Order: sequence, then C-alpha cells, then structure tokens
Amino acid sequence: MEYTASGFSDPILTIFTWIYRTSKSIRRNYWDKQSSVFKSGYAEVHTFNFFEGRLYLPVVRLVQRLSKYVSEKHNADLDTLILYSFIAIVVLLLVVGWLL
Amino acid sequence: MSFIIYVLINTVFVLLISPLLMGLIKKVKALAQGRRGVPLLQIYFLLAKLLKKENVYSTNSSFITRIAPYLNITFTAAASLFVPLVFIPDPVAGIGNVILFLYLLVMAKFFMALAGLDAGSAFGGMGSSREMSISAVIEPGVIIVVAAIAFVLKTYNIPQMFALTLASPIFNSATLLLISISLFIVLITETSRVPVDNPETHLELTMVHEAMILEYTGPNLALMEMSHAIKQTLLMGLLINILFPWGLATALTPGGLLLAALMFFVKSLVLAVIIGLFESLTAKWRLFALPKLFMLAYALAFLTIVVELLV
Repeated sequence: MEYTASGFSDPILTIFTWIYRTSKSIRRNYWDKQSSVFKSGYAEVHTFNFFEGRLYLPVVRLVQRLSKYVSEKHNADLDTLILYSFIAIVVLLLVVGWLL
Repeated sequence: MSFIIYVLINTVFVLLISPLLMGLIKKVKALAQGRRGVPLLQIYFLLAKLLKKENVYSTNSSFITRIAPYLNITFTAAASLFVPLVFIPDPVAGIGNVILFLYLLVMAKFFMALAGLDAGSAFGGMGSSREMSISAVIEPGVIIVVAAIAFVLKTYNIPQMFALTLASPIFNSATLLLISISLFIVLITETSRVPVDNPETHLELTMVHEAMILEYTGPNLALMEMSHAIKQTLLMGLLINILFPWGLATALTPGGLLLAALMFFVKSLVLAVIIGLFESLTAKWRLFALPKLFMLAYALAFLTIVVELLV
C-alpha cells in the first residue's frame, strides 16, 4: 500500500492549521443500523488558500470598491459629472504645470 | 598543502569517532535505565557486519533507493569538511560557509525522505512525511540560530567562528551561552533523539528516522547509519567548538593534533553523556506538541540577536 499525497501532507496541515484553516469532512456508510460494519467512506480535506485569501483578494476587493465608487461618480447626475470633470482638469493642469 | 592534510585528518577523525559517540549515548541511556547495555564498540561491529552482507531491494523500488545511501554519505562527508574538529585550516574559498553547511545536511535529509517514499511502503512514507513536517518547522529555527551565531561572531565562516572563539580566553560572548540551548534543541531534533523521535525503535509512535531507512539492508544500511552518525558528530562539534573551543590546533604539529583530538574526544564524551541523560529524563512528545519545543529554540535565538543589538 502506497502512502498517499494527502497522508503525506497531513502532519504539516495539522501543525499549520492556524494558517491553512484546515477543514476535514468525513462521511461513512455502514451496512447495518448500529453503524458497526463499515461499508464505504469518503473524506475531504480543504485548506484555506493563505496567500490568495490574505494577500491578493484584499487588493482585488479594494480596487473593485474604488472602481465602483468612480463609476458611480461617472454615472450620477450632471452636476457631479461636471464637478468631477472640473477636478480632473485642475489636477491635469497642475500635473502638466509641475512637469513643464 | 595544509588544506589537503586538513581534509584527510578531519574526514578520518569524523569517520572514526562518529560510531563511538553513537555507542556512547546508547550506553549512557542503558546505564540510566539500569541495564548494562551493548558494548561501546558495538556500532563498529554492526557496521562491519552490514558491510559484509548483500543489498536487497524491493521490486517496487526505483533508482532512488539505490543512489540515496551514496548521496547521503557524500553530502554528510562534504559537510564534515565545514566543521573543523581538531585543526583549523587557513580560510579556503568555498569551504566553511555555514549556510552551505546547512544546505548540505538538508540535501542528505531530502534524499533520505525520497528513499523512504520510494519503495511504496506505508511505513517509509509515514516516516518521510513526519521527517519533512518536523523539518519544515525546525528549519526556520535553525536558520535563526545560525544567523544569531553569525551575528554575534560577525562571520559566516565556521572555521573562522572557531578561530574567534578560540582566541578569547573565556566565553567570547555571554549570548553564546544563550544560543547554545537553541543549538542543543537543533542537535536533538536533527539527530532524531527522544522528545522528537526515538532512535532505538521504529514503532508507530516514533517512526520518523528509523522508518525511513526500514527498507535498507547490508552496505546501504551501513552507509545510512554512518551518515546519521556523522551528522550527529558535526552538530555536536559545532556546539562544542563554539562554546568550548580550547584545545583546537591551529598549526600542523603532531603533538598539537594529538592533543586536539584527545581534547575533542573528552569534550564530546561529556556532551554525549549530557545527551544520553537528557534522553533518559524526557519522554517522547506528541508529534503535534513538538512545535512548542522548536518555538523555544526560535525564541532564544531571537533573544540572542536582540540582546546583541542592544549591548
């Protein structure tokens, strides 16, 4: 019987549970009602993707929130749009003035 | 020329003394448990017996099982050049970097773990899995310990570290005493000793190192045992020569070398007795409780760096 990959990685997942948030779900089926004779089973190990969940996704969420805010400004009433364009032009002029 | 002599002396000395230190720790443990224990030289007889036998391979195993013992002994023998035990050579490019020393030891461990998985037995796989998990937790600690030593002594070169500690009349720095506790934990962990693993058995509870080499017999097993013994001697040598380097020879004189060899022998004897007693006094820890022990090693090494920064 060969050692499986999930078996191999199990100790490290258990040691670093606080990073990986390891969740294990095990389902067992039995032949009898007293659940003493094992028929078949199914086990799943899920880990929390640390770098995705703690590093990439927060940035993605921030960018999405910002872009939503900007797009609301774009599509709001005429006054806001004009104010927005005005600020954009002022900023542009300042930047160009600073650059030249 | 002096470097070639150094290579010869150091390698021969390591090869000769390593099984004896193994046997000595075994003997101390036996005496502590009230047994008579095996003779001190038993490991030499065991190695000689194994070398006479033939190699038997599982039909499921690949070339990894065949090359792993040779790679293992090569990596540890190469690493042995990095730790001068009797004679400090003049600095030579490429020899002595402490980070490279660690990598050589880790390479040996990596191939041993692969070999454990190779034959496809659940026993070897479990051993490899546990060894790799323990490694993953202790390795950052080892790096911090080494970084702390390098920071205190301001050099990455192991022979230079020894030369520096040798030059000072008493402890080079009090913080080195602090780091020695971390080094001791690293030594215990890397040589698979009691709170982490039990080198005597390969039962389910402790199967880490012994489970990985379960598939080996004959000369291959002898090489595996030898590289384990060498690794232990090197880590002991690192600890001894950083704390108590007195007696190390810096010049190539027969008398000085003999004295240095004798001094190292006595010092390693004392350390072996300490390790044996430590092993007898502690019980095997649960695998998942071990990170606490490693945390202690981290914390002390980190404390060393902080103290050294403040002083």
